[in-house]
Amino acid sequence: MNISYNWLKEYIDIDLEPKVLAEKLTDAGLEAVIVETLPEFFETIVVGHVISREQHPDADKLSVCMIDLGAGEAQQIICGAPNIAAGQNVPVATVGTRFPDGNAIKKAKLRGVESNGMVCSERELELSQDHSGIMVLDESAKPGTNMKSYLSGNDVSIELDLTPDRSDALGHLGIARDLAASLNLELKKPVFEVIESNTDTSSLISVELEDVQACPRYAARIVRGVTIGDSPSWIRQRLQSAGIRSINNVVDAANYVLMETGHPLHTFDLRYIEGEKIIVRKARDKEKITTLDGKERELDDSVLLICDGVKPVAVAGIMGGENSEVKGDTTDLLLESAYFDPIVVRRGAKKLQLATDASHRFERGTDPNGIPFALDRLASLIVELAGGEITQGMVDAYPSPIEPIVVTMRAARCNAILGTDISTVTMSGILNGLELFHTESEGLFQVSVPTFRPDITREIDLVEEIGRIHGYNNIPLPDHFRIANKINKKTPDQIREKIIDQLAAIGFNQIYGNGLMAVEEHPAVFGDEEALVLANPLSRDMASMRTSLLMGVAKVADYNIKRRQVDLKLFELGQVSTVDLNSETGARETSHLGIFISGDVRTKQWSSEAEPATIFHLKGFVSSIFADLFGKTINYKAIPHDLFSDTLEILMDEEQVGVLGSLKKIDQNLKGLSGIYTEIRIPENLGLDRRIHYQQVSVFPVVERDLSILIDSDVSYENVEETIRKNAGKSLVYSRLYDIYEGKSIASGKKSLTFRLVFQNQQRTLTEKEIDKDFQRILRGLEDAYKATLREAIL
Amino acid sequence: MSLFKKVDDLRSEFMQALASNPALSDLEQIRQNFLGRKGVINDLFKKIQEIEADRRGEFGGLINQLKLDIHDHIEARINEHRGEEKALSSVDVTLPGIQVERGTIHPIESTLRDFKQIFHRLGFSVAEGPEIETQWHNFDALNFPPEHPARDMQDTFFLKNDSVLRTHTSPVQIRLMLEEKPPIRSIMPGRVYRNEAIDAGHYCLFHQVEGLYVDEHVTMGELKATLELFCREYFGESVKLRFRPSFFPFTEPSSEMDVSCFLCGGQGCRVCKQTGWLEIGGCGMVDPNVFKSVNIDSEIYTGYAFGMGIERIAMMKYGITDIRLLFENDVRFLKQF
Ligand SMILES: [Zn+2]
Repeated sequence: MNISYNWLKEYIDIDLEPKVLAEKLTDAGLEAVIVETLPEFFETIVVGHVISREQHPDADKLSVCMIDLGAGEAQQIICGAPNIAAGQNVPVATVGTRFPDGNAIKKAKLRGVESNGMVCSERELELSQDHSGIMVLDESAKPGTNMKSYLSGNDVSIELDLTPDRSDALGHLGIARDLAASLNLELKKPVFEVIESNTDTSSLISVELEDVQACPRYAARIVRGVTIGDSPSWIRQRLQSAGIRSINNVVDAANYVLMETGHPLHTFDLRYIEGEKIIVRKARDKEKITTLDGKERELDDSVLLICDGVKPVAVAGIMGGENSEVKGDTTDLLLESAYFDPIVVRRGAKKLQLATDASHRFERGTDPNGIPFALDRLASLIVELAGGEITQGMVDAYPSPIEPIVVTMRAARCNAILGTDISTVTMSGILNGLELFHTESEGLFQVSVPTFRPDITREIDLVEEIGRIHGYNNIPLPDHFRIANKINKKTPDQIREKIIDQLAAIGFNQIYGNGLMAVEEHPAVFGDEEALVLANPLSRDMASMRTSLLMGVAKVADYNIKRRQVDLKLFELGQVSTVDLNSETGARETSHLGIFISGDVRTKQWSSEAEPATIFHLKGFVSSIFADLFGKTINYKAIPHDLFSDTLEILMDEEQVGVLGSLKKIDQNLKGLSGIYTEIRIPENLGLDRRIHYQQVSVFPVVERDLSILIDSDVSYENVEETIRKNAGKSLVYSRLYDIYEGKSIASGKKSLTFRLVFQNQQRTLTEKEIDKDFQRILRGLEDAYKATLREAIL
Repeated sequence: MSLFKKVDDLRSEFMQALASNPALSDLEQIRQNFLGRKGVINDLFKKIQEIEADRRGEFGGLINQLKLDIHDHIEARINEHRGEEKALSSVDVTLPGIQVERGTIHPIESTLRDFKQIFHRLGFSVAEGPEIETQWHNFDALNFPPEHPARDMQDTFFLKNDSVLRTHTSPVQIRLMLEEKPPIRSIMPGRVYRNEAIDAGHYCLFHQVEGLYVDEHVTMGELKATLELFCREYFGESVKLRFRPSFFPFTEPSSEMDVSCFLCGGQGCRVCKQTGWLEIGGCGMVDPNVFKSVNIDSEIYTGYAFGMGIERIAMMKYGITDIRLLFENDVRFLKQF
């Protein structure tokens, strides 16, 4: 909502620069910034006075005008509009103006005659759609005046970003009230007179409320004999600053009172109100009304209607009907000021998908007891602007008046919550400034909360008012903090941090992916995923929750590879979810770790060759994280898989936690993508109970032996390693495979495996004899199991 | 006796000469000075007659030892020099160092960690909750009435079963307060979703850190002090903080918090939209209705809560102007962190 600086000054004697004023409003909770309401190109648009107009010698439709632009000599300007005439004041785009569409005003010749500017229409100035002719300005306008100041009267427009609870601040008066309380100044309410004729209003119109719940109050007045015309410039300028376009004096008056009081009002042309009555009722199913915007709308009983004796004439609180609109020849008016239930207006506006200045305010709650003031103010302003006479009295249907509520506040409680030491006198002053009138005794406030503050219903709401007006920035800061005397348990986020650190330390880049994806894109990584589908997705691409990280990681990999970043080491650690009918949310959420490598894990350097990524690299990384970091037993088992070739199932403490393999085709759009991927479900309590027990380091020497065997090619490493381990005896610390060879110099169908065996004893130095014995036993084991033969032994 | 001392003096003199790290040619000169025929050691040796007879053997031994030591030291130094020469001639030491691939932590993660570290020090533990929430946890328990316009402020993703993708991390507060008795002092980081069109400033998801302290006698002053300390540690000591009254259904009083723009120092620039301030989050005192929904007596306990957007702050800190960069994961972007 935009407000006018000059307008605000009507209600409060402030001497603050607009910028300072905006800060004061912000400090009181009405977030304010100064804005330009007119586009930048207005800088070079000025008021011009047409001194003379002559026919262009070579063009029927063009006029050659001499225009006084205030400074210097009058300028010759060619104009094509039919309505231009000598004596007019008009907006002139001077040479140098650059319109948003790129059109720039230059010195030019039109059919041989020089032109030094352009006279503008309202459309060209983006003020309206009117392009029937040039815009004609007030006679009193001074040539040379910038159009910005002509339109706004040197006003400053302030944009407010209001929170939804502050319906009282949706008009200048309410804002001034907050300022008055903050700055300790007096609020000056508008003073006006309602001069009534002898005709009784109730003899001309009656009001029936069919649904008192939805419309607790409806008041009406009648003004007869008005003349519709333009508004004076002071109204137009204020409305301009408030971002409202001037239409005619009656509509402008209603908008003016709306922006003053925050109370929406409506004006009907009385000649179209049939049956001399207004009925407020729910719409019937499929009932139709054409609203002011020219659209025919079909309704149901969620919509409240204002009807006359025959037909609907407005959608209550949202928009008037076309059939009773005020027009150029309107003379008699019915003015409406009513209170509608916020929820009813909200539902109606939702149903019609229509948000208006009126519905915005009714939805947030207007003041049922402010109705007569707003109505009188409107009637009086209309007479001032458009003439006519106000009939006697207002018709006011208000069967059960809504009373102010009383809320109690303890001063001590208020200070205890804010951490302040505000005196009861100061509190009382703040409350009075906000028109929250009260009694106080021994620190106990009994506050009568006016109906324009529907947001205040509890003690805590009053505490906020005290804090807000006292100023949050004036609440003192304590010098010390208190820390809860309570153990902070180890949490899974600490474990995740360890995993992330570990991967980053060995060269991986962490990624953060989108948690939403297309329903048809879920890859079956584990095979048991059932995706949660959104009821209101943003797009097809993001219509469900990810069930695994694969698709997101693969897309990131593909994105990078297409940008020639081919050697990738990526990982993501994030939540995925699947359907779980047993959970209260219908979802089961798990932490997953996805790791992707492609290209070379080590690039070629002058000192070493490139090392292409293989599944064995990922196996190594996985084991290093989960076995070394968390002390888990990790096993792998070869399995077939639709998405991967060379697939392994990852078992942690005998339970399946992940898969690892080389990517096959996972999606039509990622056909060319190749790389190695693993995805692991992080067990919930992983590592939380991990305890490290120190193992004494043996002081006795380590003995190393290399074992090189020839064995059938189809015997797996796993089997060989197991045989070595089983036959080794207690002294073998570990065996490490460091060479595999197949090819020339070896019989076909055979391979050579070379292990380094490391022996050590905790209690003594091993003898050559003992090691020989172990070595021979290992060899025999391999001979017996797989007919392996010794190739060479480097002793 | 003075001749014995002279031996010691010569030894110190020699060690001093070596300490200046002499070049190869200087070493030769030192050798001549000490061990040459006309060198100082020979001179001293000639004076052996001045020593009493019974101590001449001792004196000779000392001088011999000194000669040997000097010889060894000089040889060692010469070898060092020769070795250096050899190394210099055979290896091109200007070759590049062998490249080590450093991994990177995502800027969202590292920003979050900085937050955690500061709040840890202030005695906050970490709590987490699900991304998919019941409407009760996400709205009702947090005092959002069913038809209140406040629900307009958050455009929510709904699942077909009526659960929602949480629109803030505040439902974790609810879970925490249902699980634990006060005092509760925790931060709650996590991913949240909003049904908004994606552009440079908005994404359909982002991350928040929420904080909650519930205890006896918790005040708004403490809330302000906690956040001010956090901001000064995170953004720098000179940063200023501003609290603006605001509205959230789950806190009362409610406030937004701004920090002075660290790009222009509060003078006004494009980033802070000429205001000199950058909004970093919301905060307030836990609304009594929230306490009611988790069965905590608001007459005994009070509490404060605050929330900040991690992306927003990471973007400010690193000068990132498009939020989509954070989720695009271009490695050329990631490797900068
Ligand atoms: Zn700035």
